[in-house]
Amino acid sequence: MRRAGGWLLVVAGLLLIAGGVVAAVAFGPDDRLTSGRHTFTSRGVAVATAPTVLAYSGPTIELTATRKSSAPVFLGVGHHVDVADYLRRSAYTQIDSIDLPQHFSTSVVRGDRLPAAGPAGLDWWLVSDSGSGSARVVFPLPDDAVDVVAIDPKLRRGFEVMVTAAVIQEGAFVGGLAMSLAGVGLAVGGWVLRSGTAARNLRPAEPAHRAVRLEGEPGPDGLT
Amino acid sequence: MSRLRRGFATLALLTAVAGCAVPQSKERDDLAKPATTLAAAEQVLIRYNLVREQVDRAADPSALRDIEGGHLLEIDQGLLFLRRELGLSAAPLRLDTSGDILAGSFDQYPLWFAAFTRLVGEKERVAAVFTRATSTSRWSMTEAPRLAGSTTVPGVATDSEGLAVTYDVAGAQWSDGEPTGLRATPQQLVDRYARLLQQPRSRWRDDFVKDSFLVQMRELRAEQPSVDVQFSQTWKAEQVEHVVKLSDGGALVFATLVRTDRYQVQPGHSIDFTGLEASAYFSDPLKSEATLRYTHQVLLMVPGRGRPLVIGQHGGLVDATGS
Repeated sequence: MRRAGGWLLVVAGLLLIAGGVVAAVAFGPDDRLTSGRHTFTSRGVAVATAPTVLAYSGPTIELTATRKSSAPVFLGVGHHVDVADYLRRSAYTQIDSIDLPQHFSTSVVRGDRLPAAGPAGLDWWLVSDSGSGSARVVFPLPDDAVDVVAIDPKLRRGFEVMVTAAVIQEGAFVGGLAMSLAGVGLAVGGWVLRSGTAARNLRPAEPAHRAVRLEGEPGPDGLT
Repeated sequence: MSRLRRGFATLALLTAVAGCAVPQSKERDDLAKPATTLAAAEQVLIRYNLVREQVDRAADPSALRDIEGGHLLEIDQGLLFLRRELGLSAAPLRLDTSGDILAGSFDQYPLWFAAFTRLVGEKERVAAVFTRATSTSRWSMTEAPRLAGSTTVPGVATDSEGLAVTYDVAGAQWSDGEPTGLRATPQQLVDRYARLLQQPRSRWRDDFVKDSFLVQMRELRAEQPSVDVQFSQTWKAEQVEHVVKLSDGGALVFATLVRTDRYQVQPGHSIDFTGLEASAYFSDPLKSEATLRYTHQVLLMVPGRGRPLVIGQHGGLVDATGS
């Protein structure tokens, strides 16, 4: 029994070590699980995600959009109802799906008009940033249907942007290391327990029956 | 299992291992959003008060376009015109910003919400509808029937998220997917009410309560000249866009009614509007004809059981022509 328990602790410890190491390595000392940099181009004014792309809620996401030659860029996250109306009748590139970690599928949305106003003055962005050359937003993925929009703030057609995405979890790196340490402790404890049981198993086995009956001597029932 | 799902499963495992929130799958078919939040609605009312104070103090209707739209803009521009032409004074209109906000959920623009609130310094309350036509436009007050301070507004039906259930005009059903259960569509009810205003003996006369608006309009009609002048009056209901479901299964219908009064003067006679608001448009007596156009915004309460009645109204003369 003790031997089986020891093995169980060893296995659990090894799993904890593996999980902790993977988490620590994946998130790194900056607590970020980062994708590669992806370049998106549009003949229109923007690149935007379809509402089904961000179909999950919970984690905190960091997005960074960069453009060449310090060109201006606006990066915003808005409710799909607002974004869809904003880009209605405008040409842009839509990110239809993401196959983690590296592949994105896109489609071209046709349109003959520009948005009626620049993105910066609108009050419905959940989070937004703009700048020369780059913009960065950090937001927890909400329950609502949201779209991410990268757009030229001056609404000029012909738009290229590089986007980097990261999942942020404060304390993930330290937590992973702590988990690994706990796993080591558990595994060592389990090993000792298993070893102790094995050592006991090396002692001479005691006789199964202390009462030895002599051959030919009648038993309690009188039979030989 | 798709690669995205596998990826998120991996992410979920990693984040769970790291001790943080696990990604949750969303309801993909629910793309709607609340029209507003309480805090955002309060900001809309505060902005309305700020601009409205400037408009009222200067009796200048030009800035009204920043905060009002639709038929309400027409009504209030008309009232400001009358005030300026007739030298009338009035305290600036001011909304209590802590009223009840009824906001529904919408999957596309235009968005709208209703604010039932007190008019500061007055006994009346207002049921103000604010609409946002597009994502790049501002909120505008588009309907504002006034209610007597003693008028009780029935409870409003809400969905599972506490948002008001509104009428989907295109789908002819409530926003929660339920059929209206009313004896007629909101538009048909308002059309019938307009018909009743125009023809007191209309076939719909027993379908509505003889409310104070009906009585007032009939009294005004009875006071019109009948000697040497041929008077006629028509009523027309505009398209109904804003309806809220009541908790008893009824509805609150915001409706706009256009009233046209026509005066055909007999040869050799004239009609004089001195002392009346129409005098702001006519400096001399008219010898041929006159047409006065009024717009009334009403709040029609349609109980779950019982006859509909108007419980609030706001309107006025918006245009007049004559010769």
